[in-house]
Amino acid sequence: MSVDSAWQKNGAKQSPDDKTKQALLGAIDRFDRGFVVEFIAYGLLPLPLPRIMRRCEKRVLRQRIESMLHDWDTIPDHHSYIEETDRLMREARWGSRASKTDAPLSSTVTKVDRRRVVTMLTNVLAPRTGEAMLGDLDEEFARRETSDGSDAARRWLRRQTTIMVLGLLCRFIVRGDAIVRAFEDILRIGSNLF
Amino acid sequence: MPRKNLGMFELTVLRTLIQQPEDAYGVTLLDRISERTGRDASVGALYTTLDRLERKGFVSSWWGEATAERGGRRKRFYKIENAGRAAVHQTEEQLRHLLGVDGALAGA
Repeated sequence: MSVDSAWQKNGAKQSPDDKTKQALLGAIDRFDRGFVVEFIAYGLLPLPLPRIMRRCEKRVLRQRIESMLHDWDTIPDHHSYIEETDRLMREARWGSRASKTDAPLSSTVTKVDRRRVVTMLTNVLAPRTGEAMLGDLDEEFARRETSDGSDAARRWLRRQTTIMVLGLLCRFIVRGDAIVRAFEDILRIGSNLF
Repeated sequence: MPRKNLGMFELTVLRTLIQQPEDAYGVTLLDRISERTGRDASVGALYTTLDRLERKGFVSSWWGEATAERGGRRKRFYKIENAGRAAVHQTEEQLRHLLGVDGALAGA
């Protein structure tokens, strides 16, 4: 759905001006380019690729922008509209608590983000439960931020995240070791047959 | 055939699932475990244990809804299975013998 059609469909009183539309569509284009760069970069890694990428982030972003267009009249002016778009882009890409410095509007990835690394590692090392683990951390963090304050909540999150990732890595290494040992056993048994 | 002996944390998790089966996902389970034991378990430890219990067939799980406060991520709900209940009773029986306690452990 285009900016105009979304606007017309919802009976808006005025259409967004060209500058706003350009900003929005340009942002989506740059976001797409960033996505392609990440796709290629991940494609070079010898890891289970589909689990690394948040494959739906582009779709989610589009849905959220379209839904924002539906609610256009709740946003008082184009300036705040751009700010809102900026916030949604950051959220879609970096999660709900990304600060402004974490990710400039729809930029390509220029710096390693700890949060993203944790997400990637968790999804790779615990493909079945990674999403639930990260969601639980988010939910509990939000609750602690309200009850204990931001600093204490951040300390808690850092500690939990470290324990979680280290634990998953250890499990991964131990399981890998078990697989290697099983393979060696098979080779040894096989070699005894000849 | 999975081993029925349970570790202490496995037993705690299964007991929590038996006594408060509703709405059992990561955050609520951690809360209940903390209430019952006074121990702040980590999310990683909980999921490692739940994953192991599920592979043994002691619990089953399914995906729930995603919420905004979870960053759009879904919950994973857990339920204890009959094999899990049996394992809990067997382990508690062993503990009872070990400690020389008569009768079932509290809440069994």
